[in-house]
Amino acid sequence: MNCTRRSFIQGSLATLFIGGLNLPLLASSIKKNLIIISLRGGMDGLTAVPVIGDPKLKKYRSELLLDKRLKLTSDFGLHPKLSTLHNLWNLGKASIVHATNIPYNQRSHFDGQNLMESGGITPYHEKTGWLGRGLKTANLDGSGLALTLPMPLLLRGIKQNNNFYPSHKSMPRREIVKILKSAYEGASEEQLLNVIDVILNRPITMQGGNQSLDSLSKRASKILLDPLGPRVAVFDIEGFDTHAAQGTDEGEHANNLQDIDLIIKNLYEGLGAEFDNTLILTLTEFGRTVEQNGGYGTDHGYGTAILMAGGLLKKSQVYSDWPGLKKNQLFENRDLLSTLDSRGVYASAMASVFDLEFDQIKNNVFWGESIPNLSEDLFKV
Amino acid sequence: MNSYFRKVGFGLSHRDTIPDDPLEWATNQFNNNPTLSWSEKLPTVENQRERFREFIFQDDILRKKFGKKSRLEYEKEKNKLRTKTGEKFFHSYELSIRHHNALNSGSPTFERMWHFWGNHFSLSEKDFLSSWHYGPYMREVIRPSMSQTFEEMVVNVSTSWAMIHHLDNDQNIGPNSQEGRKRNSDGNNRRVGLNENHARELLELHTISPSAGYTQQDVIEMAKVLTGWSKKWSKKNLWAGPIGFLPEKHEMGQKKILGKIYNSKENKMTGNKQLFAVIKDLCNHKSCKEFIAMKLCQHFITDEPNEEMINVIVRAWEKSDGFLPDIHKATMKIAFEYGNQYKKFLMPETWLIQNAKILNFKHYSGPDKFIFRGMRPGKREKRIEWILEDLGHSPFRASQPNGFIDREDEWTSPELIIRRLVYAKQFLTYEKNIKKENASIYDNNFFENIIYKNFDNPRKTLELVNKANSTQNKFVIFANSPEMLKV
Repeated sequence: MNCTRRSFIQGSLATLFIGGLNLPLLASSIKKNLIIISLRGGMDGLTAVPVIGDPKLKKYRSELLLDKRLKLTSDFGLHPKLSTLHNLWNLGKASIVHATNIPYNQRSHFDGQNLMESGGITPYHEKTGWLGRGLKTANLDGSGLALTLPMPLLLRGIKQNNNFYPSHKSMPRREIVKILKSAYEGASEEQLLNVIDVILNRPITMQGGNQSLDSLSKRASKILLDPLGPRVAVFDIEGFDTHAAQGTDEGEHANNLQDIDLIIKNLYEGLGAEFDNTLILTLTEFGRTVEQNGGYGTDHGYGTAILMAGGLLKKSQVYSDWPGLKKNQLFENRDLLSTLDSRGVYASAMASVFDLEFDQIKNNVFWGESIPNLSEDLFKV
Repeated sequence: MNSYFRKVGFGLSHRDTIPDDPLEWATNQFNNNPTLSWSEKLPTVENQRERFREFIFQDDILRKKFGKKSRLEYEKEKNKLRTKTGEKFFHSYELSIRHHNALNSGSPTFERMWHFWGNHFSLSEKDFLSSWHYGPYMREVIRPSMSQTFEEMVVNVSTSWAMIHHLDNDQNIGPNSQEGRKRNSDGNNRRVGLNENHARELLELHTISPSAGYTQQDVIEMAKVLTGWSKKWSKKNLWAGPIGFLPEKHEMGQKKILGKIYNSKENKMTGNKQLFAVIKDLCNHKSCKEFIAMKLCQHFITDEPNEEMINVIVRAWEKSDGFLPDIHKATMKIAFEYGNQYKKFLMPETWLIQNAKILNFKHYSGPDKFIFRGMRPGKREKRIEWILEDLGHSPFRASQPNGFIDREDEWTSPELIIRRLVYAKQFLTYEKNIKKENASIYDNNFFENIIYKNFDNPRKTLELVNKANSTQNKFVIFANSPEMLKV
């Protein structure tokens, strides 16, 4: 089939969901989780979720095509390293938004990564992140957890964020830390006192472990299971900037996609029944050029895909206003066009997880800018 | 007032005598630029450009040779190339040099100020800047500028190889310049034009800051002024060539920034002079003086400086026409006067150096001398890189062009405080592995000596440290005492 500019609202299990099944539930009684996986370097949406329905893809990137792609719909496939995501797709718990990006098309990693986290239009203008502002709008102090060492910009803007990125060096004995605590008390150092309390009261789930994504994601699911613990977690994966030797089923991009799949797998297995109250979304600064370059890689582009998993998704679907791959349909004749402001996806996800109206998020987090409300299309409200 | 030696320097070691006049001690250090302590020959911008050139040249060959067939083979060969050209070596090497210098310099307040400017005019992580270029940039661009005016410093930074590469000014090409017209008319789809990256940071981060109220149009006009300042591309140098002003890339015509017209019909200016004229006006702008003065106060005194402090520095600026040694001295003075009323949370690297100096650590930052021999760094040579990375403050690897944020809340997340606890515990093991007898200097007299020299209320801190029963635990408590974290 030929892909033209039109909407795909197709899903494997789409028809099995019936509105009547929604039971009235007290919003506050359920702890819902939101997990963002930052993909740094620019994820190639056409490698993760190739448009098999468009014969032009072969022409542009004959050396980058997948051999053993998994099937999503008649038009879209999935990279074989995303096997957990594929299993979840079959369970109605995975979705793709395609041909989307933040409203930024200048192809600088710095500026792009800054904007994907701040949610703004001008690089470095905002000093807080959209997720931090979202938590603040929902009054969720202390609910943010970063699985990174520096607190990512994404989570800034709310107090008492926690982070977990265990050092391989051993802690001093507890009584020594307590001596310091009393010294901070004596010196009225409130901020230090708060932090040392958090450290002294770290649950067993936040002791030990290592900095591998495998360990971090297993720990994260345990931490998120704590009914009083964080409900938002942020992961970081680097290395998507594959200008050369990008690879196909195997290779650099494939390895990075496998990392995403590993996080999703560990969260799915670790969260158990709570996975149904969870949303996982990827976030990247831009996609990559449609055409392969001389080094069998791809360069900085524009439109890309968001991978989503979790029980709070409405259904399995590839959601896209597909722009097409003809030369004149590409952005500046080279990149997949973004036809959807991805901030609408993140805003709608926050509305769903934080039990807020979309407009509250739109106004408090995104300055009232005209971003699309996709709550009803994508998520359980 | 002994905490002043930590407020503006790195503290006093057990061998140091207490200066009679702390303020004079601090300000005198700005009378001339001290030489660096490192005894081996230091790599220059030219040396490192050549290594960078070699890397991109060879990498291109490897990519063509292996890129398609075998990614693994390509990775393997590229890895060898990174070792051979020093990409793996120079980051930790430069950090060793930096720390050796901080610990051995007779002018610690000068060194603190040097670190401050390195962070103000930060390079962020991009294209191996941290391994090849940050060190020479600090030595050849930032350091000599510290005995000049702020305006000269901005000119030096803005036309430096490192900053132009960092902020993409190579790609900032006048659309109506000779080269712009040529490249936009040859049928190629890739159009060239202005790149605002350098222009925006020059205004926002380096000089006047957003409080000056400039507009997006000002940024565009600034970008036009910057066109032409570029690396000279050649088949030999590739994009590691030296910096020059290339008139063929420069956008002709007049430019209007903050209401003032440059290169007007009445007052023509050659392309290369325009940048200097604009920088002159930016540096004389009220917002620039206040912004820089605010950042200096924020670094040395408090997260929230008040107008009074800021004005002292602004006045010294105006009196000296922006002469940096005078600005630095005014900063020392204001830090001295407000020292008792305010406390400043130290960023991890400064905290690390202070502990190393006061506690007499010699081995955490690598051997005293070593040079590049075409190899990867050894474990001991690389240690400093790991420590700083782990503390969250690897000074040559800021994630954004605004460098590291100089505020307490940036550095007090649980993991970052845990890092300070675990490294304070770790310190001694680096020393013991080298020289066992070194541990024996840490008796009660030692702690009494250093605490007396470096603290305003020594008895309190000494009591606190004495609650620990081992040298290792004393280190943990000393290094993480409220007074060592904040001064």
